[in-house]
This record gives sequence, structure tokens and C-alpha cells, in this order.
Amino acid sequence: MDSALTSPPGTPVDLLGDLTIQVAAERRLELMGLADGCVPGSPCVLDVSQIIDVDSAGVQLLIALRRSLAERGSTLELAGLRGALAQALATYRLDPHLGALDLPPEPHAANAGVHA
Amino acid sequence: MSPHRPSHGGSDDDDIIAAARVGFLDEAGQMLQQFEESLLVLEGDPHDAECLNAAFRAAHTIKGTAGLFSCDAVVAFTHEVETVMEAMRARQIAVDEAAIAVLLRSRDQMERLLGEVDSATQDAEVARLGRQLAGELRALLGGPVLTTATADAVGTTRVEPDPETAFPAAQAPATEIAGETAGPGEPLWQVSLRFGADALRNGLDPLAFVRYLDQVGQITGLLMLDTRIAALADLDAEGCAIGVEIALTSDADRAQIEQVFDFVVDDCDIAIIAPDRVAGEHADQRLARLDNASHDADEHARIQHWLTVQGWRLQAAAQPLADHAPQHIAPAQAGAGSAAAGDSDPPAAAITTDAAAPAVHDLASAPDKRADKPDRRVPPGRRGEDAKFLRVRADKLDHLIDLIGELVIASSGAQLAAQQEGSAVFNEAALRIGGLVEEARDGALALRMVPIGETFTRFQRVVRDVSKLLGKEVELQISGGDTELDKTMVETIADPIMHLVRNSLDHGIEGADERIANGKPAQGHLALHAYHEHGLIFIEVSDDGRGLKRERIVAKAIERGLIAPDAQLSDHEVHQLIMQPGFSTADQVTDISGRGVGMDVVKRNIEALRGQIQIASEEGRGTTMQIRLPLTLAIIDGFLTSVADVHYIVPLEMVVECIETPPLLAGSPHQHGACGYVDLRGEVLPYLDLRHHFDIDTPRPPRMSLLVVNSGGSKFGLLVDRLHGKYQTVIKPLGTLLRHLRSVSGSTVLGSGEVGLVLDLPALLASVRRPAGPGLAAGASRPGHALA
Repeated sequence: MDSALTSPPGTPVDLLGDLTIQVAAERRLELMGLADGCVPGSPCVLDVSQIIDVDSAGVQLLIALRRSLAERGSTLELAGLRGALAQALATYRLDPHLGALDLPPEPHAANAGVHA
Repeated sequence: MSPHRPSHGGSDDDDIIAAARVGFLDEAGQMLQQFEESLLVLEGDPHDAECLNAAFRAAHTIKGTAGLFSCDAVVAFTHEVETVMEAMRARQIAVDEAAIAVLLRSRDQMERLLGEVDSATQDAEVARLGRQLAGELRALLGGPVLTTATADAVGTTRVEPDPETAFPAAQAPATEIAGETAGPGEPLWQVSLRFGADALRNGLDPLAFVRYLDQVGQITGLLMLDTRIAALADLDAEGCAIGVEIALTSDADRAQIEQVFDFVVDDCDIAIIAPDRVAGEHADQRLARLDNASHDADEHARIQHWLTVQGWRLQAAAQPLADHAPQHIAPAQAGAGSAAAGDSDPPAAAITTDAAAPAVHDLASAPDKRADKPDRRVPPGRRGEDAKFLRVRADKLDHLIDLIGELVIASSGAQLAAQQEGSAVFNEAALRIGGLVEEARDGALALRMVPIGETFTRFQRVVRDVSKLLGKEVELQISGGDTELDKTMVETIADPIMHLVRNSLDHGIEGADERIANGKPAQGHLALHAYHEHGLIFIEVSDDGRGLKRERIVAKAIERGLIAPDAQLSDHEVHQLIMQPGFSTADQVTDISGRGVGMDVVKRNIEALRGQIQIASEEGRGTTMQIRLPLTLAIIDGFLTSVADVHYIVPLEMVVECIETPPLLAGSPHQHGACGYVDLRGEVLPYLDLRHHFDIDTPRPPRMSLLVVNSGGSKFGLLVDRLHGKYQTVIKPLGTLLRHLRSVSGSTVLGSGEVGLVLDLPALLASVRRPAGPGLAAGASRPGHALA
């Protein structure tokens, strides 16, 4: 969303509508804008409570967003998880940071991107 | 074999099974075709993973359906093939020429075994070949790269050491299952999935498969592998880079677990590790066996860590979850339980609340999307594509087309009656019916049209085998494979094309040394090309070989008495000579690049389809054989004419124009015998007087018509008494008694019940031409006046 560009650090940004293969290409551009608008070094909180439908392409987009944010020294946090997205993340055993639930972070683990 | 299978039901059941078996054999034939095509591509490009998967899938499908029909010999042998393919997919053995050669021969063996199922016979020789090939297949697996431990761990690459126990071995799959489910308690499987880039685009959502898997057993652990997912800037948003490692407790056997992924095998690397291998293993060892694990160090480390966390390092399969209870609970609660084990952020609580009670303020998600109520109806897959095709028995279709043929005749009869009655209403109704019948005819005929591509691709194997045999290097290029023609025609034309292809390979294309000496590339080039034009189908077989040698053909033709010694022939006429029956004796094979072998048979076969064959050749440069075929055999749009009371029909697409009583013809000043010339707007047009040609002894009417037709690019006229116009013609073949006639290619029944004759224009054209070609000896011109 455009509002992301001016959000102060930590302010939740709303993400609306579907996160599915049908709209994946356009949502990628939207999320790129969002990532560009995030303040480096501070967590980017995304309010996902208004997301309607989600498939693996959507989950993949969020993981890509997390990676893009990590490149900028920022982190991703999903707030207001519910509905289809909550179920998708539960199926994939992912936490609201999109880190692996089944894999408690270890200090020397190579999965630096997860909780950068 | 299935005929001896114990029967559970009455004869009704048997009928159903018999019918289904026909379908199975049919499908197996297609799978074999796919298997072969994929192998041939792999031979050229051993790294084509898609083709490897396609070949594997084909073998897997044959094995699966053969199992349903208790075709044990097919199952046992195909299992051996599948094992080798599996090892290739796992990159445990190389996809090299030797392996492909064995697999291709195995394909032939599968075909033989399926043939035995079809004929309900068993041949000792086939069984012997099977044992021999099974041995060769196992020898492939026995290569130095493959250790026994590796083979065991991957499960499907299990190899029976003793050929006698394994073949004919219906026990082989049974042993495998028994081995996997052995062990007390609920077995813990490891399922490792790496989805291909096109999975999402193909409508296959990894989520759906994970959820479906959760119904086969219980997913007790899952690791999402995201190292392949790029950052947004580099992300292919519609591609799929998702991989998962899954821990699954399930009583199901391997086949049941594999079945979950039936629809996605082409779009996913799947490794399933059996429970008996799970226990007491070090994570590193497991990881090393995961053929599809990436070489990414991060991912490796993560999987290793996860495996350790899952308790795969020390625990026995019997109690795999003992120390990790909080992490291995039902999916809906997994979020809460595992989050507690990890960092406890406030949002984690949000997951717990929402997932456990999704209905509270969940307006958007439909009930069947809830994690605790996944879609249980059908496995995910490409349902849409299946629905686009319907398999119909060919004889039903033939019957329908026969009926439509009768309908066309009956409709013509109705129109005729309407005209005679002089009733405008009746006439209009008859015309309306006629129009609809015409549409129905076109639709019915289109049902029989199949693309020729499938026939063409079969030649890949022929070219490969023959060129290997001859020690030549030949590339086959196929184009226009989607050109459609009548199914019976596709079947009949395959033989003549085969003949032409073999001739080109054997005699047309030179050996590599000779080619290089002639300044050509070492690799020969053979092309199959098909296209539609002028209501005809053209099929061309061309090579860049040595071409036809004119002098030798002429010399041989003179020697054989086929042409006069002083004959002046065009190149075209010389080339056509090789299709004369006299040219096909064995001693001439090498003399005239062997093209005389059986060419008369090829020509006859093609003419039986109302087609023609033309040859264009340039010495030293190559030869092109062009086959022209009519679009269909059964029903055509014809143009009805008559001479006295005999009706003649010409295919409508060959009619150029009609001229009523051309004044020049009134006194027939330019006519000699049946043939003559007329000035058509300054153009010299040869014509044939059908009355004279067919020896009809009635006086000429005062007014006559000239029908100008085009046959294979040559225009000529037919002089007839009357023109009746367009007429839908159901072609009935001539009986054996009349089959030798050259000017008539078929007959039809008119609406009035009279018989009409369908004219064979190429043969008539030859009659027009021959008197003009003084060089031809009498012997060659004899056919063509058969009815005269």
C-alpha cells in the first residue's frame, strides 16, 4: 500500500485482498514499493487481517518480502494473522516472522535471514 | 495373467472388466509412445530432467494400471524399468547411450508383454527376453556409483539380487511394502518435496498436497525450505521455489503415500524415505541420501538441524515423538505448541486464537479452507484438462459417419422430390434440412480427424535405429505435426512414409565420408513435413542426400522397355519412372540409389487413398517425395455433371470454372479422338471429351458444357452434356470387379437412386497428356483407357 511510504517505524501497514498466483505479479510490484518505503533497521509490521485468499504463491511473496527487507537490514512481522493466511502459515509451520516453527533458531544456524 | 484371475462377479462384471482392459491397453500404448519419445530426447540431451520425469511417469502409469488388471508379468518387468528410471532421476546412475539403448529395448519388451495380455497368450521366447533384459537393467543399477545402502534407503530403488526370484516376480512389490511397514507402532516417514518452477503456473499448489498428505497420515513436523525463494526484486512471482521436508506418521504403505503426489510428479522432485530407514540413523547420512536436496550449504544445515530436532538422530521408529511431544501435534494447534517452544511473540498468540477458533469473525475464508477441515473430496490435480477430452470407440464413430452418409443421400432424395413436387414450402424445408445435414456431416468428419504428429514422431525411433545400423549420422526434422487428417488415412499412410524414410536413409543420404568429400555437413538431414493446401493434405519426405541419377534411370527404363530409346522426357517424367513396377527388381537396388525398391507398392498404397505421389530430385543435392492426399475418404463436396444419362462427379475443390457451350467446340475443329484444345481467354487449354472417352453412343446434344478443373496444378477441361451443380457425395468404393478402372475412383448413390461415378482426375489428366507426349512408348500409355 502507498501509505507504507510515509509510515513511521513500527506502524502497521495494511495489506488487502488476495495473495494468490492470479495476482502474484502485480502484488510483487506493490510489495517492492512497500519494502522500499520501510525504514532500514526497524521492523516492518504488516497488518494482514484484511487478506482474503492465499495460496503458496502468496506465502512465497511474503518470504520474498522478508528477504528483501533483510537485505535492507529490516525485519518483517505479520500482525492480525487470521483466516486463509493463518492456515497457510500453520500448514507450512511458519511463524509470524515467516521463520520455521519446527526449527528453533540456534545461535550458529545458517538461517540468518529468518530473524535478521 | 489376467484371464486366469479369480472372478468375483457374473458375466456383467467380466464384460465391464473386459471393456476397461481395452482402455488400459490403449492407454498403455500411448504411454509406451511417450516413454519412447522421452528416451529419444534424453539420448540427445541426458540432462533433460523433464523428459526423464515424463519417461518415468509413463512407466509408472503402465505399472500402476497393469497392476489393476493383474497383468503380473507387465508389472514385474515394468517395475525393473521403473527402478532404473528412479535411479536415473536420483542421479545414481548415468543417463548414457548404453542405458537408453537397454531402456528402448525394454520398451519393446513391455509392448510384447502387453501384446500377450491382449491376445491372452504366453510365449516362452518373450519370457526369456524378459529375463535377459531384466538382467541387463539390473546390471545398469549395479554400476560402481550405486551402493546397496543407497538403493535401500531410497526404497524404490530396491534391487533383488537373484534374477530368478525377482522375475517373473509379482512378489517384488509385495516384498517392498512388507519391508517398509515392518516395525511396531506408527511408522514415521520422511517426505521430501522440491516443487518445480512451473508447479503454480500449472495450477498445482504445494499447500494442497501438504494438506492432502495430512489425511494419509499425520504430519508431525514440516520444514519450509525457502533458500530458493529470491528477494522480491529477483522473484518470479508466478514461479514456484518452494521445498518442504515433512515428517509423517502413517500406517499407509509407500504406494498410498506416492499416490498423493500422482498429479504433481512432473512438477516436483519427490523423495519418500521409508520408516525402517528412519530409525537409528544419523542426520548427516540421511541428508546425503536425499537426492533432491540442493547443494546450498544453508539449506543443508537447516535440514540437518531440523532432522536432529525431529529426533531422527537417535530414536527408534517405534517411539519417534517421545521427547518432542509439544512439537508434534495436530496442524491446527501446531502454531500454538511450537511457538511456545520458539520465541514467544505476541503475534504467535494471534495464530493460536485464530487457528483454533476461525469462525469468530472470519468473514472471508470459506469453510472448506480451514486448516482443521481441509478439502477431503478429491486429490488435487489437473481436473480441467482431463475434462476436455472424451475417449470414444472408433467403431461407434464409424457407425455415426455411415449413418450421416445415408442421411446425406436421403436428404438429396428429399430435395429432389421437393423440386419435382414444385411445392415451395416443401422445397424450403428440404433445403433447410440439407443445410443442417451438411453441417452435421462436417462435424462428424472432423471427429475422425487426428493430427499426423503422432505418426511422425514414431519415425524418430526408426531414424535412430536405421541410421545406427548403417553407421550414418542423420538428424530428423519434423514440422507440421498438427496437420489433421482422417484417422484411417493416418494409419494407412504410415507404411508408405516408412518406406520412403527407409529409402532415404538407406540410399539417399550418403555416409559421413562421402558427404564431407562432397562438401556437405557430416550429419545427414531428413525432414518430414505436412501441411494443408487447396483442400488437399501434403506430406513431404525430403533428404539432402545424393539425389536421383537421371542417366541411370533413363538407361534402366530403356533396358526394361518402359520408354522408347529416343524418348525426350522431362526430369519430372524421369523421376516418376522409378515408381513403375518394372523398376523394383532386386538387382537394381544399388544401381539407381535403390529407390526402385517397392516404390510401385508405395504408389499403389497412396493411390488407394485417392492420393498421388510426386518426386522432385536434384542430383547431388537431395530428393523430396511429396504425397498428396484428399482431406477425407468418406464424404466430399462434389460437382455433378452428366453425359447422356450417366452421372459423373468431380470433387468440387478441383473445379475452376464452367463454360456453357463454348462456340469453338461447336464443330470440334481441334479435337483428335477424345482430346482437344480450346482457346480459353488466350490460354491453350487441353480438354477431354467424356462422351468419347467413355464410348457413349448417343448423339451430341446441341448445347454442351466445358468444366475446367485443376488437378495437382495442371488445368484441363472436361466436355460434358449437362452441369447439375454442387452435390454432396458419399463415396462408395468400387467393387473388386471394377477396381482396375483408371478413370473412375468411386461411385455414389444419387438422391434419385441412380448411381453416379466419381471421376479420377489425375488419371484423366494422364489421358489428356499422353497423346501429347510422343516420346512415351505404347506400353506406358496403356493404362488410362481402361473404360474406353
